[in-house]
Amino acid sequence: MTYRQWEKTFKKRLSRLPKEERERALGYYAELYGDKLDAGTSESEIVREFGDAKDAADKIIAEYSESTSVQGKTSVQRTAGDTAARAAAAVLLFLFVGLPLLAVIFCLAVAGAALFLSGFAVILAGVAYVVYFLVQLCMFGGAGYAAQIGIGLAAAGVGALLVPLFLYCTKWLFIACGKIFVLTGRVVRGKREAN
Amino acid sequence: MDAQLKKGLLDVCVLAVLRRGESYGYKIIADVAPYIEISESTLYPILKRLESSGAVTAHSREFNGRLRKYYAITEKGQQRILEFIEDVKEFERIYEFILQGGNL
Repeated sequence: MTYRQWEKTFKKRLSRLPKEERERALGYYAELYGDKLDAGTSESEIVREFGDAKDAADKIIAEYSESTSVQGKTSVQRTAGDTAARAAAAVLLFLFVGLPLLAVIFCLAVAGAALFLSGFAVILAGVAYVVYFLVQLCMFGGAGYAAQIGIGLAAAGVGALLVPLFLYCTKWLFIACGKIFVLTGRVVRGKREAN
Repeated sequence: MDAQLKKGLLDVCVLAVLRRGESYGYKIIADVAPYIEISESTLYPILKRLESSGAVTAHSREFNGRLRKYYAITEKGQQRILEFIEDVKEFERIYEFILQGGNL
């Protein structure tokens, strides 16, 4: 394993820490790496001495959690005054972002369902058209009615062709709805962790 | 050795090394390692703890085209060493007491 690979794993593992803390840890190991190289140690040996990147990162995370939990009580007191402002921000966020987003997701879902059903509606309409003019043909006869039946059958056929296409569109609409949900969830979780 | 005891000892060992003059990560490990087991991942939290408690100060300086962080002991750090020496004296009395089976 090269140092870059080690550092990549280390950095990824530290992603939950604030940027300043992460940069500090990365700087510490980069400095040691440089000094060890200058002292004639090989890259592979340095990486071996550093040990598992995840373990090294976990030690830093544990130490950071420990130090922040000690300061926890004072920070809780400091942030207690912000609770009302945070609640107001949450309400505004829900009203101006959450509600419109929910409306968009709902509309997309309804559009998807309607699209899916419209394919069957075209088939049904075509069949109804055929039945209606078949009855007309039986009762009164004539080439005009036969032509109308043909049109009805064609409509039903077009409907049958449209069903898979609409089904495909519906599937993607629902996937889009799901992705919007997941992305929103990630954004909210990210903000919580940052806080 | 007990983890908490070792933690405290390492803090003082690092401070003792810095008593000779300012130093940096790699050299601190090299100076402390012959006396007590210390690794790169162990030193990082020690330096951070000592810095945040005001026992050491740190500043970065360019070396060979890259940045190196140098640490220097403060008055508070010196005081910490003296407190540790006093603690050890007390430990010695307790040690003797334990060794004599509680009969001094």
